[in-house]
Amino acid sequence: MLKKRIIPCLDIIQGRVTKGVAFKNNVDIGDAIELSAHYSDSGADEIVIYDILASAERRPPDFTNIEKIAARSFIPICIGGGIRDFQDAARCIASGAEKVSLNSIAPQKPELITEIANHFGVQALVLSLDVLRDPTCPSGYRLVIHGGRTPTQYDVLDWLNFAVPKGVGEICVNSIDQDGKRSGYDLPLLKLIKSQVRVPVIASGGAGNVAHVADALRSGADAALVASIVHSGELTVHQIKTQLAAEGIIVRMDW
Amino acid sequence: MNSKTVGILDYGAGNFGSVRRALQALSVEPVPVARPADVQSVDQLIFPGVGSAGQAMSELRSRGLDEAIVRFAQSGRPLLGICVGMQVLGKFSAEGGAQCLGLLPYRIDQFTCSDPVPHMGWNSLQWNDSHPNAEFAKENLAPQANLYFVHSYAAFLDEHNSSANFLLASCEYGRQTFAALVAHDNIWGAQCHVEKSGRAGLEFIKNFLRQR
Repeated sequence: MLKKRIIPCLDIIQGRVTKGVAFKNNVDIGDAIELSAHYSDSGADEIVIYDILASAERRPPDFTNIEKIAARSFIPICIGGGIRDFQDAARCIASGAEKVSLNSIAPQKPELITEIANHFGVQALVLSLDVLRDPTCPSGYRLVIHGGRTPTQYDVLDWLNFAVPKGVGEICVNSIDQDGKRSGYDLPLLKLIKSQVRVPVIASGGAGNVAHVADALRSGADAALVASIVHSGELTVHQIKTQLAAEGIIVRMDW
Repeated sequence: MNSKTVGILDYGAGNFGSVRRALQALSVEPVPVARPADVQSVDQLIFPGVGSAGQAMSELRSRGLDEAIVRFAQSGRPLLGICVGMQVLGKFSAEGGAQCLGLLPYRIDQFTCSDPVPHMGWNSLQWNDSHPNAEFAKENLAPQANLYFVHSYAAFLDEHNSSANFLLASCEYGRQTFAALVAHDNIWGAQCHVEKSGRAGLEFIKNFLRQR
């Protein structure tokens, strides 16, 4: 049976994993290569690496670092942040990533989705959505970009109907309202998106404990991103999965 | 661990680097093999692949690598196809209507289930213990080991593939059962990305490499 995936998300600045709010008060968590290898060996199903300053600094991700991470991590790796054209995506994949994640660039340059998917297959393209509650949108949710700072014209469902057929293999849904609050993922949003698309959906933003992760997976998410709860050392991936399994959620327990 | 020369077929497949890194993790330094003549100079050959079977076959044909792979396999040396590499070891793929290498007797079709496609993520295997290579291939793998899959097409265990004596292990998704690992003598294939399936995947590659 296909397993629900637990995916540690590593925000990195100059090769170091960091955790902060809106690029401020960043706390150093550790070396990205070491941490990725650690998660790879201890039950993570995939790793997401976000170069969080690349976009703002208008530079591509750090390819040398991706290569070093890939040399030690034998699970799929997804790279986000700073991918602005086909060449950036191709270099990420050549450096050892299986997938690239597009966020703010996608509404500005939707043809990039098709360009990447046609060459590498849809499985290599993750569409990452930053979503903000907005009662003026028919679905109640608006697509925002630049880490939530810039609203777009799109109702989130209109955006998905437009973007997914262009070659999206997977969707990562990040609730800006819930992000960093540790009060749980936005479950109505996850259910809404699952009812609209056939590709796998990854829940992101808001996990404060294992019950939150379980709720997201029961709401239909195929995978959950975790950051603070594993980086802080509060819980290991193994502990999260053991608790999920005890609640009847099918996860991979052998590694 | 291995004094034999291990080649990785280099024809532009996206997972070439991942296969190279997986071998390096097993202390094997593989050589890239891009020309038909080079194929015959290695002792063991790994044939990676992502994308579509039709595209892979035309890449191979344009480089003359299709015949080189067949000759390599017929010489009795170990050959391992991964993902699309495994698919094109068969006779035919419905993806692009591609005639394939014909080294193994299956055909490849698209998932018809209502579950999300691609089948993406970690899934467990059902070993075919009556296969002569089963004991050898699963050594050091946990019985419930999961491997990482990403694909929209597969060799389904249906009327087209009824003489499934190539089946080493099967997998189930969306109530459809398909070949996850295949083998016939020296010719092996993995639908899953064994190069990205953690320790279980590395163990499988190791078992492939320890063939004579």
